[in-house]
Amino acid sequence: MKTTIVLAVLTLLIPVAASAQDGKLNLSSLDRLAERASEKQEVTIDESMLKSVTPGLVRPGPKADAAKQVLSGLKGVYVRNYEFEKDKAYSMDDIAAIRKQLSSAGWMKIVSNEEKGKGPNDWELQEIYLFKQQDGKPGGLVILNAEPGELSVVNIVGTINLADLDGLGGILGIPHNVGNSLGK
Amino acid sequence: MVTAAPFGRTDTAALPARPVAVAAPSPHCAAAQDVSSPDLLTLAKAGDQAAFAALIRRHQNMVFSVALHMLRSRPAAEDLAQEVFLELYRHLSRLESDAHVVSWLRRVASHRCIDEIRRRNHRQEFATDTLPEPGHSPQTRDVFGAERLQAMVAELPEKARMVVVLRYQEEMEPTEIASALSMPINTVKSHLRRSIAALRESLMSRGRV
Amino acid sequence: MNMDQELRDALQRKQAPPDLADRVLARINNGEAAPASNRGPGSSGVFRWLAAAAVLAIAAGGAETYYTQQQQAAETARVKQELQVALQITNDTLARVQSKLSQPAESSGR
Repeated sequence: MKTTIVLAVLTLLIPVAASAQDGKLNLSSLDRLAERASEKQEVTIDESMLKSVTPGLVRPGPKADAAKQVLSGLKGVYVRNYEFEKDKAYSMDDIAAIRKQLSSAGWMKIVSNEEKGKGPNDWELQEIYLFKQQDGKPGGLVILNAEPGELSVVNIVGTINLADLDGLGGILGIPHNVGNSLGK
Repeated sequence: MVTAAPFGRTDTAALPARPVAVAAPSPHCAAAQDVSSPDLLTLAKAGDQAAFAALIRRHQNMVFSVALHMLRSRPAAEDLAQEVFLELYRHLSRLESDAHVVSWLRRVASHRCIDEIRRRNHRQEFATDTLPEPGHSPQTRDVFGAERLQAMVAELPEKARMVVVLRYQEEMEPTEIASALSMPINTVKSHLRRSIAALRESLMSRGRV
Repeated sequence: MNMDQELRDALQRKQAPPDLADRVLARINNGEAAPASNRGPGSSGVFRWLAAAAVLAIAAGGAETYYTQQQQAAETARVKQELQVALQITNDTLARVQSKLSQPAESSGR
């Protein structure tokens, strides 16, 4: 029984770990949380979609070249954002599979804030990870924010760092973000 | 143990009431202006067009402003406001009080604005090219700052934008906003929290402290 | 910066056009306000748009090209919208992280 469980766990881990090694997370473990969410936003944009629409995404302007350069390095944008009516809808255990992937080779945790209080709903977690390819170039980033009423997982795959998000956001009409200060 | 103090949350406790600007009554409806709201609705439901016109004038600033802040285009806001009042005319028989009219108008205007924005996105018609004419808010202390903030609000995703407009233009409580938009209250609060944090950060990064 | 006050100022109600009520009544008297049961939500607007689009496509003789172009434009708009949503969420999450990092550490438990 114990051997079976270990083998089953290893079998589950192999495809998950392999996927995490190229800067892209396997987010399928979050599907069951999506069912419990009162509001959800899920974005899945892979490399082919990005390539086909990049020319039409950037309007002419002073930051157009910078935005195009950032876009050309992107291989995927994957976001899962869930809000829960009930505070006990999920726990840290539910995101263990995600964090397990981020403990594999290539991923570096650059920001971590974890807080636990006395109550069962008194916890929160914020983490940022960067993925470095074997040649040392950035290969992706993950931003994780977890609290009882809300879970956000952002996985951007490609040669992008936090500072690049500012230029990209500006050209797409998003208010300037704080990526710059955290990315330095 | 670290205390997780509330972060990035604006105090969304009840805001102090402020006087609402109402359009000057048309000289053609002087009599209708003397009529109390319940009687106005009753007359309008009975087919009195002057009463219906007075009802429109009573609420037109609210509907027009919601549309203007969402769509950032006076022509589009005027069109949408007309459509909302046409729909009000069609649904008059179902409304029972002036408060019911107000909540109905807010709900319908909100949903139509969101639908219009999604249609525009589909047709790649982004409203940021058509800005409202200046000089329509004489009470604003800093016209250019206010217009810049309006532009930033217009950059928010449509649902978040709608929540912000209903909160700060109409001073609706989160529970009222949740009801108007058929949205869970936690989602309303989350939209408010996120949007204000994003707007604050944007203002700070552009040099306004 | 008092954000609440700034937003209240920026989002004050504006004056509607003084002839708005007259325009609505004119449309009612032109028969535009059909009973609610006969109209689906937003249906007339959608059908008008579709009809206009169909006429253009036929007149230009390039219905298929038009359809393909519309599909591509729609896809671009959809991806842009999704990217905006993704960056908005990223923006907010990063702001929250920064906010937490900038708070002084507290030694007492809750």
